[in-house]
Amino acid sequence: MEPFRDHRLTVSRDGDAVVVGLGGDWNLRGGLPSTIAIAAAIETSPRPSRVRVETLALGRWDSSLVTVLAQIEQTSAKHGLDLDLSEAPAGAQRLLEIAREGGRRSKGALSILPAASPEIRPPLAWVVGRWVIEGTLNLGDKVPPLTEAVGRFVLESARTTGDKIDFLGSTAVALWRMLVGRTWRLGLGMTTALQEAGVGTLPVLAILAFAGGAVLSLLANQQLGRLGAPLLAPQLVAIVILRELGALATGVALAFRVGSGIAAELATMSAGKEVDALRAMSISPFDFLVAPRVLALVLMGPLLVVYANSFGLLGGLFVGVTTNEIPVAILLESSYAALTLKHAIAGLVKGAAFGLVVGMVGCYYGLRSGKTAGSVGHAVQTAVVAAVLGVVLADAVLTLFFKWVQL
Amino acid sequence: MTEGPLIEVRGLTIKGEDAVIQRGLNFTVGRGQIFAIMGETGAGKSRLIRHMVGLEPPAEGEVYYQGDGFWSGSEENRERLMRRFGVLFAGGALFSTKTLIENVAIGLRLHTDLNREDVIAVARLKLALMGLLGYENHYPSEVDEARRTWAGFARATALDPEILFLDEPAARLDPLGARRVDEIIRWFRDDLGATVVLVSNDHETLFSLADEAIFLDSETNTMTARGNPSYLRDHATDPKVRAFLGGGRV
Repeated sequence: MEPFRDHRLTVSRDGDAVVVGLGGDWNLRGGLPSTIAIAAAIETSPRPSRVRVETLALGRWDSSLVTVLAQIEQTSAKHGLDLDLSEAPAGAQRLLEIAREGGRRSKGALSILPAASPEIRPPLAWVVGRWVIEGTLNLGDKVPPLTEAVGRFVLESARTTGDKIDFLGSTAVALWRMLVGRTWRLGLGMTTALQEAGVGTLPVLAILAFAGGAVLSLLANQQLGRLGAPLLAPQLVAIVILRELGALATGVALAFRVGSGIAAELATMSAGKEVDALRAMSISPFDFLVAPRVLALVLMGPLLVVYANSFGLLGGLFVGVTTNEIPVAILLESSYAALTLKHAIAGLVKGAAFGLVVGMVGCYYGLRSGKTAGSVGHAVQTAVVAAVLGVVLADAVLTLFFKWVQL
Repeated sequence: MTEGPLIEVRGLTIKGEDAVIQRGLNFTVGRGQIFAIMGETGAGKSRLIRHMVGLEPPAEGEVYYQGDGFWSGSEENRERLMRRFGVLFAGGALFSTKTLIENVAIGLRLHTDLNREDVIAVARLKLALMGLLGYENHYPSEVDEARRTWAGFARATALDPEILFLDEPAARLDPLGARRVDEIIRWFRDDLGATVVLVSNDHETLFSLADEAIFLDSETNTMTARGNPSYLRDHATDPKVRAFLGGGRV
């Protein structure tokens, strides 16, 4: 096969016609010639009335030629000039016609015009300044600048607030209908929901709580020992675990393990039109999908807190005993004294609240996800982030509240 | 007693993300008719069904059931009308956390006073009609696509609906299965008196089954043909409809 010659595109005037000459071999890998000269020729006076395409030793061609023909066509159409394509290869004309047809079908007119004017090189200072600003505000190509992101977030929040309140209300109604037994005959799968919410979380929660308790105990021993009050350490550890650590570990474990699962499950159901099928049968998705999952989490939350507390205390004791700074008898006695009902209740209430938050958030993002399989991943991602944030915020609010009611 | 059309769609507009997909849809469906909606992919066939069964309000226009405004009326009225429908979604859209028999039974449990045993008996009958006995306790994920469609059929017909809406019932079936669907639709109409509205581009279904059909055109954004498919194949004014039905080239 002969080596490719370069494509050639020449523009000249012939009376009232702009003549575009196409020659050489056209190959996409060789790039496209610029068609800007054509527009320039059209705009010179006297104004031409038509455009003619001529071929001059035109060799092999591919879609690069068709693309350029389309550009020529659009340029002439833009200036209201007739176009004579009769000399272009018949095959290229046919392809161009199919492309036009496709453009009409999809209602986007075939638009492949080059940039209207040659790019003007911006001054260097502008380029550098822009680069610095975009570099600071931009985290990557797909991430909008900070200002835009903040704006979007505010608008989006405002737009979906009504929806979120609506969601809360519908969930409350569904929970009520479930508790008074009006929706039981649907077969709500409470057993499965409880199992999903509870049993599945046990292993990860044990590790989380044990490690948390151990680290807490280490720090408390060290710091309080330095202050000369090592005997306070076991008490501090027990109280923090009961009031805070056990519940927080539960909340985080639920968000990661169960919140993500719920969001994925409901998003898949939405994508598979299951939710539509429910609605078509006059079954509320809140009755059937949301209420059992949320209730299961609210019930399991406190139980999991008890479980997390035990492992947290075990972790604390493990460190206390192995570091050997306090006699074991005193350690146990001192820890035990701190285990009061008051502290325990604070943790249990938090556990239930975190269950509620995780359940609602998971269901919300699951049901509000898009209708395609790809939106499942996005729903899970958003749900986990929102659930963890929700748990931490609820924790702060409840801690303040407990302080206020002196629990 | 003379009665008007069972379903009347008047001035309906279907809107997509930002563009109008269909506008000015007007047609009626008589009682006992098998009515087909045909058209290219993306022409809004499934969306039209969604507007007709109450899943999505139309951008404009109204659907009347025996003169009763579907969207302009109260939500209670809409739910009451929806109980007369059976809907088959493309692919079945079974409830994934329920076994096949539970999927069929749930509507019976909710909307009838049948006792537990009778619910199961009726559900088993519906599964048997669709050739699914032996799969009652399988979950949707444990059976193949064709069986999921059949189970969706069983669920849609569980309550012997007055109007059966079917979105591409044969899309995931082999040719034999598709003919079996035609048979089932026919006896639902002939023996159970159902009116059937179906989305289908299957020539056999259209020619042998449908009394009337409309063609949703995705270029002009409205219906460009209405009538009996066999007639339309040779006599539709829009050459595209004739080509679509195999009666000539565009």
